[in-house]
Amino acid sequence: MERKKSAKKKQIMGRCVATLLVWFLGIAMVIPFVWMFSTSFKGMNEVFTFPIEWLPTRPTLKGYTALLFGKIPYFTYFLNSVKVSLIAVFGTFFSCTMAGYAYAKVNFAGRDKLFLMKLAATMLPGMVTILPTYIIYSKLGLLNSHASLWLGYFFGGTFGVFLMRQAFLSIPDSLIESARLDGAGHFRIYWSIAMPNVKSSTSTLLFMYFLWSWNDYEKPLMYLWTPKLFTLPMAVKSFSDDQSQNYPAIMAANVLMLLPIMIAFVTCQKFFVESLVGSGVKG
Amino acid sequence: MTRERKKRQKERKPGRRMDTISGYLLVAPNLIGFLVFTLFGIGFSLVMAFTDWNLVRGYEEANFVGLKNFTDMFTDPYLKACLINNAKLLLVLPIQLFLAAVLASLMNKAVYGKAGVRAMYFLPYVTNIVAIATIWEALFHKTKGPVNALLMVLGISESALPGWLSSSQWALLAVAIVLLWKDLGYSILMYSGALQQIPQELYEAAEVDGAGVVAKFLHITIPQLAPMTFMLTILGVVSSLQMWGFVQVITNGGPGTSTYTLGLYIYRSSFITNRTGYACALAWLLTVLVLIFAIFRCREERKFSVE
Repeated sequence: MERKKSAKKKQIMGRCVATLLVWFLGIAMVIPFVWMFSTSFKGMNEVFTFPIEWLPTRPTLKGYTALLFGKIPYFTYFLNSVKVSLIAVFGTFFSCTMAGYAYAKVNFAGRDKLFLMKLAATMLPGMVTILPTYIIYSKLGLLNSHASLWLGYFFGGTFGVFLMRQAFLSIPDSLIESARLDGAGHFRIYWSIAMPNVKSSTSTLLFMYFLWSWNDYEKPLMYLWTPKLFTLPMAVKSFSDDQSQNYPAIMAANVLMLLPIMIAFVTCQKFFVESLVGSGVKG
Repeated sequence: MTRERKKRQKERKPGRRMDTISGYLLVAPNLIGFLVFTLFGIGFSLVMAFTDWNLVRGYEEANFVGLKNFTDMFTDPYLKACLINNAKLLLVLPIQLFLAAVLASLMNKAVYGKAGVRAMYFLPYVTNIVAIATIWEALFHKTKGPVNALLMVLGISESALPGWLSSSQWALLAVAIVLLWKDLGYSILMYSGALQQIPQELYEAAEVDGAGVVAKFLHITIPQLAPMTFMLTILGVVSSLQMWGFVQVITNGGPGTSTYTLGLYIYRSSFITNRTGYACALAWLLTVLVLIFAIFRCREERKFSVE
């Protein structure tokens, strides 16, 4: 009895030490963000004072006004980003969930061979196809247009298809069979029976693709050259090259670029571990 | 038995045909993307790797040059710099995975408020690379940055302070630190999922044998996490070798060639210096490197599981 008690005590001690350690490192991980946030409210001369002023003594919105009402058409960039991301997520939602359902639950001829081929192609680095993709876009007249940023998402990425396939596999076959006996076709079953059962994976899918398209810097760099078409990452990059010493304004741009992701992240966070990870799907 | 199965197949046939039609309709967008962008892309890039294609002149004007692109690689000083840098950057991967495994198993069992703290570790992963680059450029600023200010407080003399991103000696290390920070949360998340699938009885049995925390981690957790480690290693190698957007923003390969990576070199050869055919050949070099690594790791894995 006595021994059990001391073992329990020891366990709680251990948990406290582990908690302290993990939280300490966790706080270290987010310090750059705290610095970004506080710098965005500072004047240019207070940026590098040491010790660091985590709470600016004379907070100012100068950084934000320089960004929003300065030389660059910030709102155009913001709307470009919103437009491209929403279209991309819309496209990827349908193509990934449909393909995922078919690979998991529709017994069509050649399914396994096709899936195996996709699996093999994941080993191929994306660098191999960037030039052919560029050529296809140029032949279609899509270079220097927003379509070059979102079109790829309409075909559904490998990650999303695997994620959704894994989710649909967990639905019992009997559920699908009984719906078939009632005369429902596969499209019907996909939409009204299967989809409502995979909500957490669907949220993960939507979040991950929103994240990737919102943060995409490489595609605009390759495909766009007219500045007013830029999405936020390119716009912020050229803004920061232009304003190289104006750290408050650059950090303000970073804060505003991060905000939508943070909001989406906080709303979807609890789904991650259960769907993204538990399924054995890897991004 | 066989006759019965045949019969059943016959009965199912009309259903099967319907299945095939709706199956292909459902995978159509994905399949078209795969055929056009992936399969055509592979073929096109493979052919162009043997030409002197220049993006400005267009591929119609490209001439076959045999193996020239591949033989050029042996004497290319830029490529050599890239491969050395990439190899050094890969050294971060085992550190990152080990840290992630330790942190994930601490979070799994022992930490209060784990959802909150896991979100903190994951935050850098969801952050835009442009934001990351501009934040760390400021933090690493040679004369005014907080990192060096902290080092000075810790007693490092002003002349010995590292120049970080602006010095060819330190830039790669700075990039490696930022990458470690950026990707740690993703590995933690992946390990967290894998940890939940380890049977509890293994730990209970070890406890009966009197195993301590460290022994349990070394002899149960790490071997049980091996498949996930394998996966994360392959993914990490692929993404590390072909990473280019991030280095383009943070240093653009410089100073000099000190942070040039294979991915960045392929991008620059494709779109900036217009040695496009050579870029295709480099992309295939990348593919071969990844495959060699994967095969090597697979064999290693098999050796482990046989033992």
